[in-house]
Amino acid sequence: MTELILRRLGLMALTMIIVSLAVFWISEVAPTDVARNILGQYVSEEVVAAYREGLGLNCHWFVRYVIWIIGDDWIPPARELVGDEVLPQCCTPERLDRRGLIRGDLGTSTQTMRPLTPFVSRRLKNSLILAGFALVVIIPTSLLIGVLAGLREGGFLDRFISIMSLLTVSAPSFAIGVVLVVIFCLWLGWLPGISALETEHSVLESPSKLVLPVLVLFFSEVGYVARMTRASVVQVMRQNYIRTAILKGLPRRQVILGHALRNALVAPITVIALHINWLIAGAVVAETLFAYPGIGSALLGAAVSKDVSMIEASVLLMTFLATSTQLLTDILYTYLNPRIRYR
Amino acid sequence: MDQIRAKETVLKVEGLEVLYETRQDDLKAVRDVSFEIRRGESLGLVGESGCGKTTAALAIMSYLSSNGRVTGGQILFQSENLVGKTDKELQPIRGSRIAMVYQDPMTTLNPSLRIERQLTEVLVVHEGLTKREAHGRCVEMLEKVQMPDPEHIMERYPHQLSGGQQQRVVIAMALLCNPDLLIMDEPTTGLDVTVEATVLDLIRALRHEFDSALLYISHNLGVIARVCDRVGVMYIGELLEEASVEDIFLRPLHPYTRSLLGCVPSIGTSKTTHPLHPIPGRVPRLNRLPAGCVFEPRCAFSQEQCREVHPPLVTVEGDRSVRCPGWQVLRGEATTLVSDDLTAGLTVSDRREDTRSVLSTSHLNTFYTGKPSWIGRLMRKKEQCVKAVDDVSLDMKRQAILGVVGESGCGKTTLAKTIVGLIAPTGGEIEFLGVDVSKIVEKRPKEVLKELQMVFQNPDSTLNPTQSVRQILARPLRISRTVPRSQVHEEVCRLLEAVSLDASYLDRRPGQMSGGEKQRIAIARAFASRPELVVCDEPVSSLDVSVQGACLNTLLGIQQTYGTSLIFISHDLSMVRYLCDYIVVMYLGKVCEVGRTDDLLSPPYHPYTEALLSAVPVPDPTVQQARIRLEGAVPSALNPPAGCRFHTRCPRKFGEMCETTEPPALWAGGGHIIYCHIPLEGLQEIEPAVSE
Amino acid sequence: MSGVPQSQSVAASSRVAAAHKSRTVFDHVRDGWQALRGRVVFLFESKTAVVGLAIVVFWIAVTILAPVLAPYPPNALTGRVSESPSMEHLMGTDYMGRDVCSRLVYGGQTILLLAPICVVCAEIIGATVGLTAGFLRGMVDEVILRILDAIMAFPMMLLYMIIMAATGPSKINIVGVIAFSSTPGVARLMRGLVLEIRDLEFVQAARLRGESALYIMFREILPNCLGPLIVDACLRVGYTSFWIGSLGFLGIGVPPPDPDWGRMVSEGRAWILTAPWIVVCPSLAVSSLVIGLNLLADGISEASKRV
Repeated sequence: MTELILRRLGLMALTMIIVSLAVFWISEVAPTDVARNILGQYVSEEVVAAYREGLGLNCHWFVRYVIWIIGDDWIPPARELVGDEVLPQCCTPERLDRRGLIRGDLGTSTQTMRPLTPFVSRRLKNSLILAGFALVVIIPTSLLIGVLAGLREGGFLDRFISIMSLLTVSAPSFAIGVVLVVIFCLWLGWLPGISALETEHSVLESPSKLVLPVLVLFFSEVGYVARMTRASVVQVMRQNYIRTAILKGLPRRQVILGHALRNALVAPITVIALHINWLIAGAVVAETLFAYPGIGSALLGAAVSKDVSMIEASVLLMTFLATSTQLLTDILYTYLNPRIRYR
Repeated sequence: MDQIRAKETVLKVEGLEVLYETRQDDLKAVRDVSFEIRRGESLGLVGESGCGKTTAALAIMSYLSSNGRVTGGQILFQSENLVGKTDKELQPIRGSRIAMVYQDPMTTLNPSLRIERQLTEVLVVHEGLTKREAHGRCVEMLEKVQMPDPEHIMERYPHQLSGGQQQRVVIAMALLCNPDLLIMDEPTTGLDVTVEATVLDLIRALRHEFDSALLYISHNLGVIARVCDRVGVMYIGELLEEASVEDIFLRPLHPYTRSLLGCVPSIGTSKTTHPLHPIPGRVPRLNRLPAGCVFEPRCAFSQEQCREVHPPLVTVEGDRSVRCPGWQVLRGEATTLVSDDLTAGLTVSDRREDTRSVLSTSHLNTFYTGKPSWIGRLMRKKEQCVKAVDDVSLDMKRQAILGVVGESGCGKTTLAKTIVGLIAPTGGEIEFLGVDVSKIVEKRPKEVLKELQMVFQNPDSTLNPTQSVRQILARPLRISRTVPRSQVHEEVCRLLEAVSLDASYLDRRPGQMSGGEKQRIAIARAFASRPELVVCDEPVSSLDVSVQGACLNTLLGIQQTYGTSLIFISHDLSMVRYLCDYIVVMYLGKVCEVGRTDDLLSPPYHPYTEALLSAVPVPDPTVQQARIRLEGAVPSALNPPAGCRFHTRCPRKFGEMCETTEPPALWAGGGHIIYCHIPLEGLQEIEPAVSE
Repeated sequence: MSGVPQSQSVAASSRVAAAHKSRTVFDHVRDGWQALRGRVVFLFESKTAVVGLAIVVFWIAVTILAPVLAPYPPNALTGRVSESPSMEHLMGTDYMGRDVCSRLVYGGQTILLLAPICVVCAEIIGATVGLTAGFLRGMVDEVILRILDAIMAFPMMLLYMIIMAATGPSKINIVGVIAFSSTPGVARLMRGLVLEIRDLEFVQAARLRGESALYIMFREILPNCLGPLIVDACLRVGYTSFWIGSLGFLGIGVPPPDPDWGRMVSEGRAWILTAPWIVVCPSLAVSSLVIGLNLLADGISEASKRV
């Protein structure tokens, strides 16, 4: 098992490096003129040139990449090191004073010129809250529905759950959101509409704002997990060891709780672990619909307004989350499966 | 025997009928089955796949699948009718008064629960014991089933035990509450033959101790002969004959029983003395049963009345029953029948032995090495090496049939694949028709490829499901250019004929054929390019007993027609003995003994050969077999014992030499070689393992 | 065999041989058609597949016949602003005064056009990559697997946003990104199938005949993979449609003025409480299409399991 973890960590590091290179290259290197892209069509050439220099864009891209990762506040200013005459044209007179990605400095927003780390961490916190509540609702419900459907295979409940799961999984999240708003806000009037939250306040201060986004995430995920659980339960109940347990004379409840579920729930739990990642990043649709200040909508905003450093930073963050959840899932799966744990 | 008959009846099944509802039809899987088992008695239900024996057993336990139900008859368990009871009513009976042991122990046990939990819960539920009391009882029971180190076993998970150990756990689980009726459904299928022998001994010993009634289900006639007092023969859901074990094997009445006995090779029979007589035709489907006797279409003695009237089960000679109106007439006839097409022309003549060598291997090695990944190397894990084939030297004559026999892990399949080229040898040489072919098939000279072909084990995956028979057979012909292009079609038809299939098969796909038919196409495909040597890796092991005979005869016939040499690999010593001229016995990658078949089967022989011969179940209750049993299981190939690989289990271990040095070759004359430290004279004095 | 007189058997076999002699192209086509018809009949046994098929066919027909069916041109201002549904405007008008029903009828074309293209690209590329990786193994396999893992670790949405930030939203970007993100899934599926199949005995038999690697890959292994690939493609079309709709909603799908259901919802969401028909109609439309596609895919995969 140690070997597995080490290997996964190694892969994670490798993936992060590849992804960071890729995203850096796409955002800053490939497009012909980053500065022009940001400033738009109507600005004069001199302003663009000055802006480019201000951003440190005249340096070689690899140098920029390395500075982004490890920062440059620990290197003494170039002037002191090499003297005025030998100073290469590319490096800016003032350092960018970055601490580097590795130490948690996500850089400065190209758009707002404000430091990214506090902004991103606030948005991330909101997304985690949303995902957390969603998980609390999704996990017990979907597992329960799936198990009930699986145990009564072919029955009315099973078919009903299957159809409902298919419907909710297929409908895009925004469609679900629209329908929910119409039902709960318009017809029933139980919840306020979709007015925007002020970004500085914590989401937890107005919990009623959380209800609809959580419900949207819930409906999008529950069908999928329920179907997976059902399939797993059905398959386990067909196994020979369940036949053994029944023919040993064990009461039905003990067969299900003691023998079946232990094996049946492994697959759904690992799937849920994998989906945590989606609940954070993929909630962007729900966030947009309800103007929820999460990380997904922050990224969307950055993409639309071409905020290069924000894009880079949040993409890397998301990738880190994704690979971490994969690692977590692998560990979880190994733990739950005695065949791998005890060789 | 009379003592047993006088005891009380534990199970009485009368006129049992089981129905399965499928989308197309309703299938009567079991029809009018009646039998009785008394305390301490064991009844064997024997039959081929689909005969309904497992269905009958599950019906007794009331565990039919959701589309199956009992539609008629009674199941009287100690005078209580089990038919129609609900699960709740049955729960106190199952596991405590009726217990069951199943075929595949790995899937029978729950992989996520420890053995202790799975054993103790039976006692906790049925006898209300506490966990500690139950634990003590379970350890006692594990000792009774001869498990080494029972306390340790309790802590383990099923996958950490070997197949034989797992099965013992399942048997222990069944016996915990001292059941009145024990049902065993093919418990030893899938175990190595030496392990099977020990488990069968255990079952016999336990029967004496526990006095339960035993219902034993198997398709293996030899096992039935060893374990049972009475035997019932089933065919597509009907009981055709029931009698004591001697009567069934020595004086069978029903034509099906006789045919079945006639198409199973036994350790005492060879192709020259007792050619196999397979049963012609196919098993009919359950939804298209004949109107009269179900066996009539394949019966050599069928009469007009057999086609029209469905014969009832009648009691004859006191304590046996048979479902055939002509039993009195048949009683006088010879015990084996001769059926036409599949044996016609199968003259195994004494041809002159061709002494030219077609294949020879010299110190052949095939090792599997597992190099640890870079992380593993960081953690200092060693390189793992499995010596699947270790220093094997053989010499094969033309037109001869060589059998390679051994249990799991002995390397026979790896040897086959190395000879044929699917795996590259790690060392040593192979010479085929004078050409050096010690490399993987992709690197061998093209002219050699068509002379060396293979028939594989699994009929379901041996043919490409998307190709028709025509395409499958034409391709090797075209590639090897055995015949000019214009004659390819005719040659394909001729090949089909050679395997006793007609041209209507040309456009069929594998999905539309039975296992036996697919295997015959595979044989035709291997022989298409008229090779000099064909390697057959367990070609008939996955087939039904009655079909095996047909396939073996096909193989023999085509081999004789083309004068091909065969290497026949199998774990079944009886089949190898029947078919082969020479035999090689392998254990953990090394050769133990090699020689002519007749030489091998009488002393002197290697202790392992002796153990195999005494373990093989023989379908004849009168045969005397020695009781040489091997302890434990085959050691892991990753860490084979030093010196003679067999020494850890050898009942005739000679001394310290066996643990340190490799055994020398002993020449017993006529090409018979034994690799053992015991001198030849010592080996010659061993009693024969099998005698009539 | 040797028991039967030689001449008889030769005569018999050549008669039979003549009867089954040559197979023309026509025979092959007829066989293929019958096989296809057999499969389609199987499909109709599944109620879910039939319902799904009906929905999908309905929307395809609506989209193709859009110019005929739409009461007004989709971008024309034909009514008052935010008018509720009436006889003139069956689904009301939107916040600019355009007829919602006409826009709806035209709006499906993005999904119905782009989703199949994405899936076909993904399947072809993914299958090739998977086949190569699974068959060749060794270093090639390891490298490909790492690359696939990296791509799969990357949420597709983000990739799209980055590309879009760099080069702007367009149909080609959508197809490219979605196909690119779906390829690893297909490649892994294919690789798994290839790993299973290459150890099967008929492939070993082909090696023993001396068949070339290309023959084995394309004539022995690939035909056996087609079934699961088709089922995967069907499932993937539903999934892809889901995402194309969502991209439209986020405002980063196909650029205006092409009508698109997702964008209709996004543009109209401020009026959700006052003029709900503007957003409810396209929401239901896109949901029903994706539901139909998923029902159909479910039915196909059920039918293939039963075969």
